[in-house]
Amino acid sequence: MSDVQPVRRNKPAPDSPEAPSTGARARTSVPPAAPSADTQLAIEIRSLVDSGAMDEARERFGELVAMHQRRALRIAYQYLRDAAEADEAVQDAFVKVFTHIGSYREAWPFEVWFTRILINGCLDRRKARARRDRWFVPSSDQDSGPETARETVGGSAPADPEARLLARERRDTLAAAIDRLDGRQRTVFMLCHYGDASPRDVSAMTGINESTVRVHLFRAVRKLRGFLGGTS
Amino acid sequence: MFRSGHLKDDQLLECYYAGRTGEALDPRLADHLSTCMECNEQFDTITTFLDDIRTDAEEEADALFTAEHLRTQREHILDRLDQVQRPARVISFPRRDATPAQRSGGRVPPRWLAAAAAAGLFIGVAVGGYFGPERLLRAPGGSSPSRQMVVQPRPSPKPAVLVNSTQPTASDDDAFLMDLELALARPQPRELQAFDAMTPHVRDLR
Ligand SMILES: [Zn+2]
Repeated sequence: MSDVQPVRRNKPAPDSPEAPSTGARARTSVPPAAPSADTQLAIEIRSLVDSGAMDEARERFGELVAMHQRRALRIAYQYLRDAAEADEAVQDAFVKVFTHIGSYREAWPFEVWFTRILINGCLDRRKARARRDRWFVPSSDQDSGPETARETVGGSAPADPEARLLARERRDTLAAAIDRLDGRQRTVFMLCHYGDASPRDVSAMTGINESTVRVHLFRAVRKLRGFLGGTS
Repeated sequence: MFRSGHLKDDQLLECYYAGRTGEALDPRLADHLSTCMECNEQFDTITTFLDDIRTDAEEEADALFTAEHLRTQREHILDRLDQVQRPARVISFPRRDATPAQRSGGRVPPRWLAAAAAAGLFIGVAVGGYFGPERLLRAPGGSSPSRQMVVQPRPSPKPAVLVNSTQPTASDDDAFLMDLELALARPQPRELQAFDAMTPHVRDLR
């Protein structure tokens, strides 16, 4: 199977130019006129599953996976900061999507539905990890640094050790800063910033009011700038 | 931050994210931004900060998840779908039309079974009393399998180093999940109810 280029998502109909942009724009629930390629594909897969053509459905699903895989991994990795766990979370989300494809309705973009399933899985994993850590008393030999704690899945790194070290420090600092955000700010920031979701998409993904999403997003960025020294 | 006569940071962020996601931007903001040098400089600072964060994160993730890894992951997903699709093996239940005699008198547990269960319970209580949870969690060295089971409920997780930098994340997430569930439980417009109905809830995903 070849790599399929990510699709440009079908955005909900943009607000009229006259609409005031006070951060509390009215939420329109009107879906876009033409479904995007991934939404169309999801509908097709649902029909195939309905008609029992499972092999073809599975084959088409591979294309859908390819469309969203990279973005999903970026989100899951930023959420979990562990490559193996991010990989599992993404796999689980796709399997869940396929097994629940019969309940997918095209009123909303496929991406919104999928991302919601993905972040729910990531949140569950973070919760499970926190529960585990409560009982887990690491001994000194297990107290490994970032080098070993963060598993790689056949990844590559800069060849220059100094550059690698600097990059890792920078990323660790950023990850620690993001971790200091409160749960809602973190999720909203992740989805907007790494998931390329608009506040309206995030509102649909999380059930949080759209204007509240904007507030969380702006607070998150303000805090990050404060933590990381990007403030003016 | 308030800058009299100029765009505030939140408005500049609004401009930044609108530009990224293709959302319509308030023309007043766009007009001001296109004519005001000071706001433009401020906007550039924010843009650079946020773009750097994104680029860095994307590079990091993309270095971990190479094209080869994506291919392998797709194969794993499709393999798992095969497992899901495969019809489950049917394990036959006891027949419903069995006679009362068959149902009750078919197999009487032997007496030694009750004795063995009692002995097991006694040993369990005695050993549990000796190796209390405190001891099991803090015992130095050693490699008793029972200790491994208690200390490490999951077979081979490596501790995620960055998450323990701040403790409150778990409670934050708890609060977030709680809010999420509350938001979903609230009465919603009909179209959202339909969307909600087809979406697995947090509680379903456990
Ligand atoms: Zn200005």
